Amino acid sequence: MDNIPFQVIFYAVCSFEQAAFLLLASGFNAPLPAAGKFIFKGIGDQKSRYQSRPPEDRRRKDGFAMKKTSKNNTRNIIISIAALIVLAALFFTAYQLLRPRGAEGNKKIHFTVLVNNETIKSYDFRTDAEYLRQALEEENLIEGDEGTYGLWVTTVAGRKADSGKEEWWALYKNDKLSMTGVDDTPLEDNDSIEYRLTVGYDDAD
Amino acid sequence: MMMPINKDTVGSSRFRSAANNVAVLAVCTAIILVQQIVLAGLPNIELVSLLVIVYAQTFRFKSLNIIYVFALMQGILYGFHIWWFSYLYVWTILALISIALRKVRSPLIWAVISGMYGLCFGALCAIPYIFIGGPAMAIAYWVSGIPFDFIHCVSNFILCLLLWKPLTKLTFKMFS
Repeated sequence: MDNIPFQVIFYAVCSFEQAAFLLLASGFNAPLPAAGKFIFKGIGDQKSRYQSRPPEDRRRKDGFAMKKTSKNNTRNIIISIAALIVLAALFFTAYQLLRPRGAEGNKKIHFTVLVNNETIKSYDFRTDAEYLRQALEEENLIEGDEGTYGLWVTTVAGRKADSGKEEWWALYKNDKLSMTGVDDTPLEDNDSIEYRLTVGYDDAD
Repeated sequence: MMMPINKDTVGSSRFRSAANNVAVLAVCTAIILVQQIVLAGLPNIELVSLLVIVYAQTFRFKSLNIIYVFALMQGILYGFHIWWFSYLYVWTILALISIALRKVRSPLIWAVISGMYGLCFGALCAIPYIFIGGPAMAIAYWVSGIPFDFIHCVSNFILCLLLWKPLTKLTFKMFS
């Protein structure tokens, strides 16, 4: 996922927090009318209904207690929303700092395709692309279906994976199973990219 | 200690209560499982978090029965892969938080808790990868999923804000 939709998501989160403030101001946050002392002796046991009158009812007779509770509730909401914003900002920063980035400039890539442990294609090519998808599409090596998580590769070097037989393409970068999809896999000079046709959804290692 | 099933115990209120508990927890497990299967096509949009919160508030520690039967059913349906091990603790953490904060009655605070949980979900699910490929693999797994954790956060926030209150009222009315 590139930067633009990710920033849109981040701004959307912030917008929802702002919307939450508006909802709070409009009185949306009124306590549950029947909220009380919930004590259950057993699920579905008639005796386990509220053991006492809801404390909110008593508070309404005491203006001071009601006012104090409402003030505390508002304070807790503000603190919790602030905590969510801080957490979102931390995650956003972590993503910006730690997300894999491809090297700039021309790179040499070694590309291999394995079917039934036999190499059906192995060759080197050069690319300026920073991420794998662009490099492989420039060489017409992959085809697939667009999904929410990026391109789901179905065909590599003309060989189509038969999903009816639980076949799928496992992506290996420098002999390690890639933790990222073809869209997000960064490239560096002399990277080794390997696609292995894998049968069954338990066999990747 | 397990209650013996005989003519003296079957009619007792204790037996009826135990049988009722099993039936109620089974229905709740079915609800959480079916909605998960129905919403499986939507990425990171789920009602499991909300239902775990509501169940934990209603049934307290008995909700762990629902969570672990749900996790077992997920394994049977989708296979016992690496992600499955995270199901053994991620929902439990949410349930324990919900039990600890059960006195909170604000939909907005629950929406924030659910949103924060959605944001942290990827990090929590990355823990088993520490034992498989080391911390580097776990961090790579977590970082690659952060954009989807943001989607999870927003969807959890909205769903909880809209549905926590009616669902809580409904479950208390039905099962309390």
